[in-house]
Amino acid sequence: MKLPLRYNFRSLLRRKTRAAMTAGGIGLAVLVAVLMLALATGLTNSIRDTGHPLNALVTSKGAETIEFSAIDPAVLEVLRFSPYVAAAEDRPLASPEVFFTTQAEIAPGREPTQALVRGVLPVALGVHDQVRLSAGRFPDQPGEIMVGPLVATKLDVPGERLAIGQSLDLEGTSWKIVGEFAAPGTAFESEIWGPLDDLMVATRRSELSSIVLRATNAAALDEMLFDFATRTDVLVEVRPETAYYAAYAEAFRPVQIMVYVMAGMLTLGGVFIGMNTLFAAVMSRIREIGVLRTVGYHRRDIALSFLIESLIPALVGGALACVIALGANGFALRIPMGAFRFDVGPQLLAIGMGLSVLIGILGAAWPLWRSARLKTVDAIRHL
Amino acid sequence: MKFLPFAFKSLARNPVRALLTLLGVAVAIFLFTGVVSLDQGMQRMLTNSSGDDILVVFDKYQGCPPLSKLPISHQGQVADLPGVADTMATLFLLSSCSRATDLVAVHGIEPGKFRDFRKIDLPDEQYRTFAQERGAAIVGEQIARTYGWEVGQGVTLEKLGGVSFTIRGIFRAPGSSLENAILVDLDYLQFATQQVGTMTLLMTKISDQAGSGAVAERIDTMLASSSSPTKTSPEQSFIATAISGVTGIIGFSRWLGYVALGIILIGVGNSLAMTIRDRTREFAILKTLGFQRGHVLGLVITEAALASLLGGTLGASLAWLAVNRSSLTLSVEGFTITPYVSPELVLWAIALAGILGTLAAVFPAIRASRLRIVQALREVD
Amino acid sequence: MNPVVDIRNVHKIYTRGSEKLDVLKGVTIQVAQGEFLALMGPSGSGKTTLLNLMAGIDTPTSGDVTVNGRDIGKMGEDQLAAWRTRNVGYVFQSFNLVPVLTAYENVELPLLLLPIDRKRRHEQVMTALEVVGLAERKKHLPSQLSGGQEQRVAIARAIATDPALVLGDEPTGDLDRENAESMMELITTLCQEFQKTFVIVTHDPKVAERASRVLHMDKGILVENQPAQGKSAPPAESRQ
Repeated sequence: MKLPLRYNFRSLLRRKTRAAMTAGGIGLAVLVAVLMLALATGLTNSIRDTGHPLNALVTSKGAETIEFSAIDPAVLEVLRFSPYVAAAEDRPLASPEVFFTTQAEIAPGREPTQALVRGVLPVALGVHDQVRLSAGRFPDQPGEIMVGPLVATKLDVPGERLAIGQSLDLEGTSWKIVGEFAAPGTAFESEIWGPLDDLMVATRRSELSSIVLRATNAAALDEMLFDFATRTDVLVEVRPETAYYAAYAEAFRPVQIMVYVMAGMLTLGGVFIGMNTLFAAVMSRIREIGVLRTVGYHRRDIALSFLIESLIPALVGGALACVIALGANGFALRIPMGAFRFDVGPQLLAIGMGLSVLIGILGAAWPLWRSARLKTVDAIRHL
Repeated sequence: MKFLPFAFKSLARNPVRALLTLLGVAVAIFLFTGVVSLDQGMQRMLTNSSGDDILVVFDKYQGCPPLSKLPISHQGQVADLPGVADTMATLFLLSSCSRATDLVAVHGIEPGKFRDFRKIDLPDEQYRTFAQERGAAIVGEQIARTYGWEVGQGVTLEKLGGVSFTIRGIFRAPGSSLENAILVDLDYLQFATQQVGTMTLLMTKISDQAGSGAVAERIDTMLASSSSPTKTSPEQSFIATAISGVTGIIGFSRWLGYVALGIILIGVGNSLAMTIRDRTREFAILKTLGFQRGHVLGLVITEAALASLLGGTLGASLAWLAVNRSSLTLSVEGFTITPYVSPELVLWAIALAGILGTLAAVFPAIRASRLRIVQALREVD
Repeated sequence: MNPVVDIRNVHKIYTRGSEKLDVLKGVTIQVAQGEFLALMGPSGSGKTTLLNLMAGIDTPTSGDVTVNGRDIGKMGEDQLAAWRTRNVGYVFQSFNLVPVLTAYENVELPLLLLPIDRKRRHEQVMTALEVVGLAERKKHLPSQLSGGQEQRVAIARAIATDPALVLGDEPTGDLDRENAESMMELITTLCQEFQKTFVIVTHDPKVAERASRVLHMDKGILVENQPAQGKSAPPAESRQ
């Protein structure tokens, strides 16, 4: 670093609008790239922890998803007494559940919106221990429900509409919200939970969607999976809960690929903007470069100096982008599967700054090569 | 404009800058077009639905089609109502309601009536074979392409409970969700999925368009106290409600499109400001030769517009190629949205590039035209 | 004593595309320490090229260029750059200074390439500025200096590392009479009092007047050899 940094700072400040526009353009590109990555991260994070490593998910034979599964409740009586099932306070951790989508009535005159509903028994909190009551109480009386933090986003209503004490119309009857729960990192957050029997009556179904069972330990889980799959007294489909939700995440893969492609294009856009500016800087200082060479500076000293001059606006733009992106952290967006939160964490911010550095370096590549090719004799003759 | 050849030559004098500006615009327009294509795909799907004379009778509370199980008896009752011209029952079988990609959808329809309700592009021969043969199916071009299916092929869908069929035709229905669907006979599907006597929805053609609201109400009232109460709505609003789950994503992607445009403004504006600075002397000389303010302004703006239009053309064309060739789709509630770049969108994107490029040029151009000759000639760098 | 500059039978051919330009056609010249040599001649005579060869900015196509005892004709780019810092000072006709750096910072530039500490560097910068009489303008940017002052700062930078050889390509070309005069005073002083060797390419006969020796070039060769009526006596002979 033979050439002083102030040389670059002052050269940049000489053309303030130009430096600002370069930083701004690169910053915008980085901002969008970071937000897209936050979207992709948010999507995967929203369901990442849904499956518990010791849980087994039972559905009817041939059902790919719990929405299309129908299990005879009698099956529960058989499975819950399996020796592999863990117990808490003397009752087996086996959770019978119905899961369905329904059109919820928000307000008269307003189009109903899709809601995700799960009918459960209190044992569900033991089996899905990521779910914690955060306000109010568990809905164990008919006509009661509790809501996760992303339900408001899913239903496209303000949070207050789903406060404790409010009501929601589902399947033709009114349900009172008596509790709120939190289950970070799980798909449950965009669900409405209510009493199993009551919801089965309301949806006129006599069969369960799924039974989720907690195994005593990892070895027991393996045994349980094998046992349930091969039993002859009941015919069911069983898999590790983690595997079920991993398949879920697979659906996000194309989105992730698209996000990466777009982030790449945005980076490219940033490179073009930065390169354009640095080119102009180099071309307007050819004589200056010649003088510096005459004084004894090496090509690489001068190249390094211009590289830094390219990095400064890129880093400034990138830093600004990261600060703005932070503001979007936690922003909730609804998707067909439910809802998710944008996740802007330290890792992502590091990637954002990394992208800025990449833009700064790539944007300097061609101008630097051109400046290195300059012969001193020609440079001093310039202008 | 008369400045065009001059503008071309001016751009060519700094080819690197012209290229970088052009490429910057191209990238941004590519992104913009790609993002709007999602919106367009959705619009196309909505407008391609058959129009105001078709109502859809659906389960009142369900969102997910396979969970809407209406008894076939509803069809007879609806058909008898005044104002109803014809009805067709459909049974849906889907691989998933919530997964947004890789959707496999089977529609059990009434072959005799289907073509009265929906337009598909298929040789009559093939359709007749399909209508008469048990276990025959016709599939949409999109899904045929995804799985590499051919006419005559026998397919078994493991994911959907082992339903099997033989493909007797591959049809086209541009812009419609049907292109991603497999059509089989209703009775056949009912039997194969052990749902005899069930349908997912009832398509209802009404005789008088003006009375559609009244007919819908009549249907719902009549069936309100049955085992499966219904909600009847015009097909377009039915689909709109069904896909409303993606409005969040589409809204977000629209925002992305705007930012992409902002990047154009900055990129071109910056490039142009640099060009003007470099050519200060040249503009001053032009002025001594008699060019007026307006001329210099026109020159600068023409250059910016030119670079932007070229870049926009490149970006929009690439997007047109990439999106329309790709098999990326977004599925929601059994409907598939295919991103689509229409020729109008390409033209609109190019025009937008030109407009933005011109806009970005305004301030630097005004500055350039205002330069006083003496000052400009003295300015050394 | 060995000459500071010893150039023997040097040729320089420039290839521009398919064109070949014979710029120097067998030049031999020696410059002794403390000499003030003026190189004159019409445009295209090759005088600037010869100067650049002495400066190590360019290398000969054939022949030997020895400056300060080093054969620089065969050195590589990077080597030459490092060599230039300690051995050569160069003053251009115009645009010598980096516009965003102050007079002080401009003079400091070559010193930043040497392994000396800050204190010593500061001393050398101030010394150079004082010699050219611009110490109180050290914080001024080139835009805040007059043409004459800019050139003097250029000289200060040229001597900052205490090189044996100082070269100038029409250093008074852009200056008015008065400034040109004072610049020549400065150069003469540096020459005589500090035993610096100067080679100046010039059109100006008044500059040539001050030189201890004047050489003329035309079409790539030396054409004349004239001792000047200047203040320094030519210590060595030169051949054609």
